[in-house]
Amino acid sequence: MVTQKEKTVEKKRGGWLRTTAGQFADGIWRQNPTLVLLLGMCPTLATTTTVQNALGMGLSVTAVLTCSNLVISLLRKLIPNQIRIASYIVIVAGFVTAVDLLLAAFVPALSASLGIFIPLIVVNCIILARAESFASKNPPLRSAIDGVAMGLGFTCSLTAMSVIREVLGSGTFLGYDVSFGVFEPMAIFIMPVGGFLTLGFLIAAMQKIMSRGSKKKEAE
Amino acid sequence: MTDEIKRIDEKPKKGRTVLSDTAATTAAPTAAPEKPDTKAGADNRTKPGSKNGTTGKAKPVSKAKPRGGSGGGAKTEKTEKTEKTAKSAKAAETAKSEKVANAANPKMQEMRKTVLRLAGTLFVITSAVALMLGGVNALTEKRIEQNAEERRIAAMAEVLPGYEAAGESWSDGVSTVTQMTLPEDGSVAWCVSLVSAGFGGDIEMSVAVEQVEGVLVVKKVAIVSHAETMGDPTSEEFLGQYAGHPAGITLGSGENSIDAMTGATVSSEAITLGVNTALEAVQEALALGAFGDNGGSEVQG
Repeated sequence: MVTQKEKTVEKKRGGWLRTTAGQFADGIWRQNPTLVLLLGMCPTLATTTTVQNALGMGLSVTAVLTCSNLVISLLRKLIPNQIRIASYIVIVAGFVTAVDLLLAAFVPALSASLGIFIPLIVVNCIILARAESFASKNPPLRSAIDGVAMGLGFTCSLTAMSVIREVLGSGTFLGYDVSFGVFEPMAIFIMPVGGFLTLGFLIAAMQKIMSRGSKKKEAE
Repeated sequence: MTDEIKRIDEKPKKGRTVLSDTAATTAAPTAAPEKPDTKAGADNRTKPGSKNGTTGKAKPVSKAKPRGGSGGGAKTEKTEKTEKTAKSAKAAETAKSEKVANAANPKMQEMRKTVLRLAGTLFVITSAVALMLGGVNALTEKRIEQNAEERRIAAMAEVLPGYEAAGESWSDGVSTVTQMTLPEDGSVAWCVSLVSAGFGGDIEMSVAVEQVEGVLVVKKVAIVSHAETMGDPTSEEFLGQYAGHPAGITLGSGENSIDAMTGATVSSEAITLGVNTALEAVQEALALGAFGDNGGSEVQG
């Protein structure tokens, strides 16, 4: 039933590819989990001090989100409503632990620098939000795409923040010196305060651009 | 079950409100001082909109019957009438409650079924996740151990820079002792790797031990990994204190003591215990001649 309805909706919108493109646009821009939905603030502020950490965190979340969305979507008709949150948490925790072990085995440096924030992905609200609001209501492929799109959106905003914070705060990019003695790194940017400031300015910039876009549409 | 209880609870309430009505009109003088009635009156006021169905009306009056009697033959035609309706309503009510009781059994069964279904589903999901994690663990376990070994070697290099490992390590199950030599002047030192139980988890540490005037003393202490939440167990200010101390280090005052980290007594104790254990391990290894003649004879002599 659900799939049939969705198929008709898809046809109306103009095909599978277009829906997928829309999903990616949602994840990366319109519904960006960090800058628009304001989900997952803890890792956003804590891991964006270096570009390497931000990329590692973003990609770990993307992997977990994609897998958990796919599995939860596959099981959405089998999981009784009363225990759905418990089931989601168990599934998510399983994938997070797997990612944690894999990182510790194959990328020990990243695992050491991200430390406690990898296990904390379990309670990252982006993952539970997508499981509850998307994966539990949509077919598996759509949900997996949603996971990739939302994960990429998270990675993009984290990377954008970390580039600003690392370059201005430490004068480096991915560990390489980029200040060239032209400016003195401002340590405030790698402090928590700098994280909040950067996040605030990024959200403001995004809102400005988005409002301009909607005004254009109104004018038309 | 809960549904049934609720229903039974509700009925007397409804009843009371009606009771106060009849009591007020018929046996007002006797009924008024009685506490339940005044309460009922309050109920009535607070719940003006409560519907008094036939079942509701009947029950309370049946309760009121003895009261009416105590009232001293104040029975009027009205009460008789209500009594009659009470009887029939009471019968209807008992029938109803029986129905409820009968209905409870299938309900219970149904509940048991849903609980079993929920528990079963959750069990299957958790088992599947556990199975997957077992697989991942089997895949990564060796690599993770290898990484830990590399970290240990790096920590060795940190506490004894420039030294090179000489031969095999010796282990007593708790501490792993490696004899190291400095190529330049051939001086000997020992690096001990061990894990001590701290406040927030295991503290993995490396202790460099050297021999000064025939006594084994600490050369340097380094923390490889820890999960302590208070103080900074990796700070040189704290770890630096250990240098030059022989076995039997205590915290606080005394000849062979160091200062604990403020607010992190458990961590300080754990690290001190680790350092003492390391010194004893080197002593034992040398006494057993684990590294050949030169080390052992030096200590004993």
